[in-house]
Amino acid sequence: MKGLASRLGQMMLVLFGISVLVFAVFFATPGSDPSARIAGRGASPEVIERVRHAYGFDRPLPMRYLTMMDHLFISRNLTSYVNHGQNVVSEVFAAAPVTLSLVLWAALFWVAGALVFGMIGAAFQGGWIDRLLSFLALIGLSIPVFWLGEMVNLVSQSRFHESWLFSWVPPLGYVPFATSPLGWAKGLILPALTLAVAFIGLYSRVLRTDLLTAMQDDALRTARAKGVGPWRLWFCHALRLSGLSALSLFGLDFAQLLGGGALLTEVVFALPGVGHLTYQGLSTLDLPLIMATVLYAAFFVVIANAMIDGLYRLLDPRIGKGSHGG
Amino acid sequence: MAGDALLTVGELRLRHRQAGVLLDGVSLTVKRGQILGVVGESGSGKSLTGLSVLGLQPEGSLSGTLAFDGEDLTRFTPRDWRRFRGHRAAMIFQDPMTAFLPVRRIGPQIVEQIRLHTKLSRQAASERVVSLLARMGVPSPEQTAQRFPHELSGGLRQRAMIAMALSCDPELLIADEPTTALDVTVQAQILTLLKEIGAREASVMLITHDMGVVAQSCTDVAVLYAGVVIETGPVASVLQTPLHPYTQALLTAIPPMDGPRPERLPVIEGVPPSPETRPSGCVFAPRCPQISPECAVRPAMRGEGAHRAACVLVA
Amino acid sequence: MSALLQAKNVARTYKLGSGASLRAVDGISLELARGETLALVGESGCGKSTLGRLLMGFDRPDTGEILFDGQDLAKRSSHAQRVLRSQLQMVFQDSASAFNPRWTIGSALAEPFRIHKRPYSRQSLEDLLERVGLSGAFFDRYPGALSGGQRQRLNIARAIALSPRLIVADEPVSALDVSVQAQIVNLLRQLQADLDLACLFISHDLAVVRQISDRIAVMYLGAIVEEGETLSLLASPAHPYTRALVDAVPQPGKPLGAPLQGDVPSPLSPPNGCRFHTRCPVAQPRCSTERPDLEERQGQRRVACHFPLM
Repeated sequence: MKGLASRLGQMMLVLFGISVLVFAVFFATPGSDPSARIAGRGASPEVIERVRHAYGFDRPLPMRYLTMMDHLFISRNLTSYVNHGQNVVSEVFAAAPVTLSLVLWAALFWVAGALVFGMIGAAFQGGWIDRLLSFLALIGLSIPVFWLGEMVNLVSQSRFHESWLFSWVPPLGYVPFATSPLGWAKGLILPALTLAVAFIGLYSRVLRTDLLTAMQDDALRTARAKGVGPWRLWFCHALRLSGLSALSLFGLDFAQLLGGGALLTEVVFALPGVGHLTYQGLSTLDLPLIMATVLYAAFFVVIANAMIDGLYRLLDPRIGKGSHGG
Repeated sequence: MAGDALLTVGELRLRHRQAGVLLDGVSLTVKRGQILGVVGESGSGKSLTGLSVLGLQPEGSLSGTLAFDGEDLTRFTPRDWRRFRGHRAAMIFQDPMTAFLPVRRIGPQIVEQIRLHTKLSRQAASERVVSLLARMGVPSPEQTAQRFPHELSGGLRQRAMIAMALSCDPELLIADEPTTALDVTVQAQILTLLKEIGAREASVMLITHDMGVVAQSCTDVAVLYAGVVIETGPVASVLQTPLHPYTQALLTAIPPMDGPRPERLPVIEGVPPSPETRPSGCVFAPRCPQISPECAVRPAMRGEGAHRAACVLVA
Repeated sequence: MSALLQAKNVARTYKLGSGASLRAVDGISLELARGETLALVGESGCGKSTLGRLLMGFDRPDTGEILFDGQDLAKRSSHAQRVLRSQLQMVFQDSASAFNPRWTIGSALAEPFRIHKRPYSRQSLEDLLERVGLSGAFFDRYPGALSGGQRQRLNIARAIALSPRLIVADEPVSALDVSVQAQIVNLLRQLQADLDLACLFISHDLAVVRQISDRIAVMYLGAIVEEGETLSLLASPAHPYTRALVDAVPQPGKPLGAPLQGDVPSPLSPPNGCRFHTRCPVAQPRCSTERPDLEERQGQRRVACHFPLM
């Protein structure tokens, strides 16, 4: 229990630190006074001054920080500086399910892909198929996701849209699950695959290496001595030993994507997720929106970190318990 | 039938692609009811011999005869091996900590082996596990079965591993340095246990570097040097009247626990040959104090009765 | 003659997480005279390695003092400690990680001289190699080229390089084959005689210890249970644990006796009273409540037992 409380305390501290940092960067650096922009082009100094007062920019920094935090978390009525009146917090919450859907599909593809390609690579270590997979993984890792996304769009939306291969592809955009499950899925498959490519590349290689290391482990030798066959050996023994490190990597990546890391994919495929919102905020320098999306992302990463630690503790019985002396 | 040959190893040669010839003519026999000690120093090939019996030797070409109860192991397909391992012959290893899967409890790991070879239900298999652990002298066997490997002491883990190896009633138990990693009082317990197993349940091939262990727990012994068996015979005979100069040297190099303390322990200078430097004649010739011109040809095992040695000095 | 090394009521407790503590060394007193070899014998968890580290000055005891040549190690300045370091050397079990694989053997041997600013020459280093039975030709080669036994010889060479008065050897031959072990044991005995070297020999192997030591101290769960002259202690042990250890040593020609039951209790929760009473074949009710002190018996033997065997 004491550990849990200190953990929560740590998380709060991290979030606090991030919020102060972001606030300082956007609001405390010289030249970041948004009043002129808000007032509009060619506004007179008096108008700018009135805007400044109305938005509270003339108040001391700590006050402004506290006000912003209040708007973000408590009253949740922080409004955008660009789209006047638009509630930033509710925007973020509306965008979250989109990102969640995209990332879930992508995770499905990337876990399946990593497992399949990782195991094939390990089982045929050194052979031509392993080398081919290695090469493909490297390509997958290196391709910028926005280029790949545009290529996918080019092929599936315009060039070959009429062909049987891609005629099912809907126009770019998001269809909520409630509206049409099929439409929802169809609209997400290609974006999810695109996003997954880089991760498959990385994870299949990591898994392959971990599996090969696990195969050398003494526990596997005992398993073979017991008469365990190759399928069971790979899936029940090797994977169990090596799965943990891949799992913690996965958790971090998953969280980071959920928090808005799939930004480029969302933009290219016109999915109104949190990443897209972040992009929007950055390109218009809409400070409240940026604050909201950055803190949202930070929140996810911090929570995911803590959950992974907990999961590790649960799955690896060696951690946490003291081992018997001797 | 007791006294019949259970395992016959004849002129076993193992050539590894990079490391060279690791076993260069290993011949030994384990009869039913015997506890055979396979003794040698590091690099002698004793562990490899044990692993070869279960087909677990490292990649390389294996030649020679390897027969178990009439079946030719060199002709085994992977399927035959899976049926054989853990069922007709089983192996326990030196470090039980790393031998068990650390992320799974002991009980389920033993159940896995039982269900691989028998048709018992999970429930029946779990009950068998508990009774096996009890037979191995594990206190509170039900609780122990629910523990993870790292939660047990070294001695208990080794007992659990022995229980796992015996779970499908194998005819041969191969023990590779089973007590080396244990405290000496615990070692004594495990050796007593292995002796009982050898007397009642299965024949045992006990691989060790410690002559004392062989003396206390084995009925017969085979001495390995540089990948070759150089002496075999009943334990009492070999230990009291060793025929091969290497066996003699090995025995005198052990510091005595009784009697006067020698000024210097007798030693053989030099080190055993590696696969590259192994002589084509007698493998021990470069270090032997009683070398003669006949040693340029590798001697076959000779001697009367069960006690034989590969040395020209043996009549 | 004052002892070279003295430990007076030394104790060391390690604090583990969540309030648990491990009393690794529990009030130990012992002495080592010049040129004498004392063996510390015991099984895992008995604290012999911890005691070795304390005596070397690698760790500070929580209570008690450790005197080297009459001076308290812990109270010395760091400069004085460094000087003392040259008098007090250690040889470990795992020789492989003791040497930087990228340094030649010659450089590794020269290092102690450089650190303590003593003069040396290539010839003197080669002589050092010969002294431990390694050819001088190894000077320019790397530790990776050595076998286990040869590396251990190199370890010993480095330890005696500055002519120390005391060497602490922690399981120096346990990882070696029997024939190599015999060579190293011979070497150590010879060096002890030639250099008037005192030695604290930590090991679990009674046969080796019998060969090499003048006195033995048997440890169990952080305390000394018996101490005395080697040959007589092993021939007629007074403490039941020592008796069990001696009986358990596998020897050709000696049949297997009834082994000691149970496992070593966890050092985290040692038994009440006499620590050994849970496994002792001759335990009486008094043993579970009252802890016996280490007392001197006849023949310069110290035993911590209410009902010693002799």
